[in-house]
Amino acid sequence: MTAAAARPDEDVSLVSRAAVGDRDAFAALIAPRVDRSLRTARAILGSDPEAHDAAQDAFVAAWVNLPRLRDPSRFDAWLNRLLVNACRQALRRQRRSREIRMDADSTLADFAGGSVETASVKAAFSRLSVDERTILLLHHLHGLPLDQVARHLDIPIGTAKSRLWHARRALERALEAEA
Amino acid sequence: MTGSTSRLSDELLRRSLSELAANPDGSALLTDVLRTVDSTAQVGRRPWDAPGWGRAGLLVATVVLITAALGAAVVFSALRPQPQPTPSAPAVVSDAITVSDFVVPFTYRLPQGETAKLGRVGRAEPAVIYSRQRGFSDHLSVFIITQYLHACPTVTGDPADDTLMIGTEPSAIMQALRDTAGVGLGPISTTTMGNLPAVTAEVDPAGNLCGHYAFHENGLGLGATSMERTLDDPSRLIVARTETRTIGVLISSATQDELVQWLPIAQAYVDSFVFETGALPSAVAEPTPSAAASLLPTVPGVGSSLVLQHFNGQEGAASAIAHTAFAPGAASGAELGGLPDNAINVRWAPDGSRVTYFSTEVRRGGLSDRPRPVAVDFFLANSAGSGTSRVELPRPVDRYASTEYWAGAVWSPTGASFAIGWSTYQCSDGPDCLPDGGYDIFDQAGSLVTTIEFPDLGNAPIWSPDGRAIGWFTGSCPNGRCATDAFNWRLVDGDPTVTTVTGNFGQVVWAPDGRLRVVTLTADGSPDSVQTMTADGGDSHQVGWTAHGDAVPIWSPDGGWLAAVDGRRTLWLRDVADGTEVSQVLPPGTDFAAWSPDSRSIALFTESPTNPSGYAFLLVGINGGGVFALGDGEDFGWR
Repeated sequence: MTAAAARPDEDVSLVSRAAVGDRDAFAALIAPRVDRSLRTARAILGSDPEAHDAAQDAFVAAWVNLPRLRDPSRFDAWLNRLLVNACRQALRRQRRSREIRMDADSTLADFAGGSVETASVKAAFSRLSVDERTILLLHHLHGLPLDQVARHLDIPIGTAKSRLWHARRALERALEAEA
Repeated sequence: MTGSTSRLSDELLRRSLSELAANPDGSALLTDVLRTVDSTAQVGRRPWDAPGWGRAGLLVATVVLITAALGAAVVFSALRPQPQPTPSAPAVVSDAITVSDFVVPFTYRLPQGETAKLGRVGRAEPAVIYSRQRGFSDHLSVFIITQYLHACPTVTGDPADDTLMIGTEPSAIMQALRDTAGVGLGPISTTTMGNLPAVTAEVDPAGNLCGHYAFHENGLGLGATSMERTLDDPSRLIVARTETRTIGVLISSATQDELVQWLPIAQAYVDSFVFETGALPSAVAEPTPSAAASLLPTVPGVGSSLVLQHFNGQEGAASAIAHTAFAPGAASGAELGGLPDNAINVRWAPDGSRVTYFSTEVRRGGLSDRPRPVAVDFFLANSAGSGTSRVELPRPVDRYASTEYWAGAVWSPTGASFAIGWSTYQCSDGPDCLPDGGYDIFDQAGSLVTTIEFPDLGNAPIWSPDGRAIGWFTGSCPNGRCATDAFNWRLVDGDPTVTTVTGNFGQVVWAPDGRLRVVTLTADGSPDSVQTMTADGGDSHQVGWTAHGDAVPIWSPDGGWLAAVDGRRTLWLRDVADGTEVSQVLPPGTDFAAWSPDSRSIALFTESPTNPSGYAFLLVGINGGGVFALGDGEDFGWR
């Protein structure tokens, strides 16, 4: 849960000010959202530099296009969409060339990192679509309740519920394929 | 809703996602975003919507802009071309992109109608010096290769043979990849990348069935860049070799024509990399150190002698330590008498009359448990060797114990006191901290005056010019990258109040006029500013400094000079008073060691031609003495 989510009125004010070019308002608006966005991008892309670039693209796109955002209260959902789109583009790039972080003693078999248990989940996660990854991250990593997930994705709560279930099933199927 | 199966519990899923998300550094991202925002216009917004703008302001601004544009046209026409690696432009050009945040800024002109996004140097993965896409299909990676590893399970079917370590020699990498089933490479040809000799081959998507990995070093371990079997666009692999490094360039694009357009960009980045690291190609003739000596300014004064400590016999033979003094301009050094042959970390008082040192004996220690000279006692003596007295230190003198005296004493400028820094292996200031440490401070007779402890030790003591106060840095190492956060000082004998001057300081010199001379760094360790300020951080003034790559300027003790050694192993010397600057080309591998206390000489160290684990020293006298190679040394002091 972000600090921003607890101060919706203040956020709306910041969005409105940022939309007319107030750089300080924009800084205050995104500061509490940077870490979460970066973690989301990192989890989707599996690479720090790619995540940094994708999140940066999303925030800069938010600044450039903010005057077009008609409803300031939808800022989080809108930003999330920009971030997911940036991750999508990065994944297309990853298909061609990919940077993989390794520890000094790593071997090829260790690329997944972490425990054997989580390694298989992470490998399965990489088989999911960006939308499936995103909804799982919002709910299971960032701990957002379903109504907040729906707000971030700008979809009805029933749709969020359905998508989360499908994403979870897709992950379980991918896990079986990894086994 | 989130009911789990037996394989995938909520907890396991959360833990896995948490590992995937890691703990990235959001502050760097925020800085990058806001820096970009500062130069990026919003869409659909009228200028007068911005805070502080009115219609009148717009009118004034319009007039100013027109005037400025007319003026700029005149000014730009008079500008000389910058000596930067600007690649050849395609025949039809439109938008020009200037990459200013790279080591060597350069401009690339795009074909008409193209848009592009050029970014910064890889931050979290420094080994990948550039990785960027243009549109959906274009991609360029420039990376450093320490081992090229080919991994192809279909080659033998035996998991033990899945990988093939190829090494770093460009032709060997290319030939091995071409000879191996599963890697589709076209004919290999020689080429150039930047000004480096290189080999190149087209990557055939149809034949590219295996993964291959270029391993590269970074500060934290290894990274890898992989070309995956899904590579399905025209691609080219180029491997270039400098005298010290192998650089890989991978380009892919939707068509061959577009692929060719990436080459100038790749060339420019490789040029920049070579500049940054000093990794000159072997084809470039080595500069002659003495050739540019006459460029150095003449400053009156003899200058301090540099005393090198070196082993005469086998490593581990504590009884064979010699000390040779080299004066600026002298043809050879002179062996010093008066010191025992087991003395290390010898440090002379400013007037040269007194000397401190650690005695050593051979003990086993360290991770390898090899015999080696280990400091056992600390002494104060007259320079001629008389009046030697053992100084009682308040903690054990044992480099392999939990507390370590990590260097020799540092005398105050007046010679009335000296301080010895120590550190522990304890870190009490959070996960990013440096080990706790402090200074033991003695008077000139060797009596302990006081001990100052602080949470994270990062430097040798910095004395005030009157010798009454002593300063130190504090800092931390977030994400494995250490930086200072403040310069702190207090009186040695008196009020224990600590004065703190915040900043990411690369260097602080407390000059004879009582003002601080500082160099501040950016978060990534590049020089940010050169300033003077009062001892409490007030009345700061910027000092002019010409950037030479990422070279960090170093103040001389008297505050009169700034010196830096850049990636092209050139020593730059600037007279702060008049802003004049001269340069001196140095031998390969040379870096800055220290200014002499009298600001008349600079010691430099380089790789030893005879001792693989040791250093050789050079002395540059700014009194016109030129560059002198002194020989090997394990430690040095000024006398």
